[in-house]
Amino acid sequence: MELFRVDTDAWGRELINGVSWDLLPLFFLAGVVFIVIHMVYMALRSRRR
Amino acid sequence: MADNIAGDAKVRRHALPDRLFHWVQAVCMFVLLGTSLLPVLGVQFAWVAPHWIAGLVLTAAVLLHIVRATIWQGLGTIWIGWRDIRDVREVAAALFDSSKAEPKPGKYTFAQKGFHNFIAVVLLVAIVTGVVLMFGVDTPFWETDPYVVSEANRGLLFVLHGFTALLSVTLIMLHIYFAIRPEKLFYTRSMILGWITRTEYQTHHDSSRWSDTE
Repeated sequence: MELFRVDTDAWGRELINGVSWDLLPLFFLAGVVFIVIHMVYMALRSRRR
Repeated sequence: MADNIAGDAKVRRHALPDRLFHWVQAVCMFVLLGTSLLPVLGVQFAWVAPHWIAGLVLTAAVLLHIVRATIWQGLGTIWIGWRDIRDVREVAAALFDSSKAEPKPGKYTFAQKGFHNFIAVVLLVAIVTGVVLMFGVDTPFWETDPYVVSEANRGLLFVLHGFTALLSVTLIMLHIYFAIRPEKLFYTRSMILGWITRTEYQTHHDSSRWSDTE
C-alpha cells in the first residue's frame, strides 16, 4: 500500500502529488473498529453495574 | 431522549449562532468530502466548483466561530485544564472500582473538548492548505496562477489537505456514532433545539463548573 500519490515532472523527476487514496478504507476501518470496541465496552460496563 | 421532559425546566446549552455554525459546518463537511472522495470511489462529476464553494463557506463560518468564541464566549469553556486531566484519572479509577463515583464535568466532558480541539486543528490545516490550493483553480475571484507555490510545495499541500480529508472521515463517523448513542441523544437534541432539561443538567453536569445562568 502506497502512502503517497507520486507523479513525474517534465524532467522525469518524481514529485509527491498528494496522499494516497488507497488509505481511505484504512481510515474508514479505524472508525468502524473504534465504534465496535466502544459498543462492546459500553455493553460490558452496563452489565457490570 | 429523556422520558419526561415536558414539565422539566430548560437549561440553555447552545445559542442559535452556535447551532447554526454547527449545522452549516456539517453540510459543508459532507459536500467537501462528497466532492473529494466520490470521484476517488469512481463517481465522476464536475466536483471542483462545489468543492471550493463549500470550502469558502466553511472558512467564513469557522472565522466567525473563532471571533465569537474568542471575544464573546471565552476559550475557557473548551480549554483542557488540569481539572479535566483529573476527571480522566477519576473516570479510569471508577472503571476498576465500582464504589468510586465518576466526576461530573462542566459544560463539556474531556472527550467532547478533546474531539472539538482535535477537529479544530484538522479543519484549520484543511482550510489553510485549501485556500492556498485554490489559487490553482479558476474562480470568479481570480484566474489560475500555477506559480503561487512550487510544484514540490503544492505536492506537500495536497498531502496535508488529503490527510485532513481522510482524518475527517474517521472523525465524522465517531461524531455521528456518539450523537446517536441513546445516553447522548439529549446532547444531540441540544444541538437542534438549544437546550437540555434541568434534570439532565443536574444528572450529568457539575453546577459549580457550568452555571445554568450563563
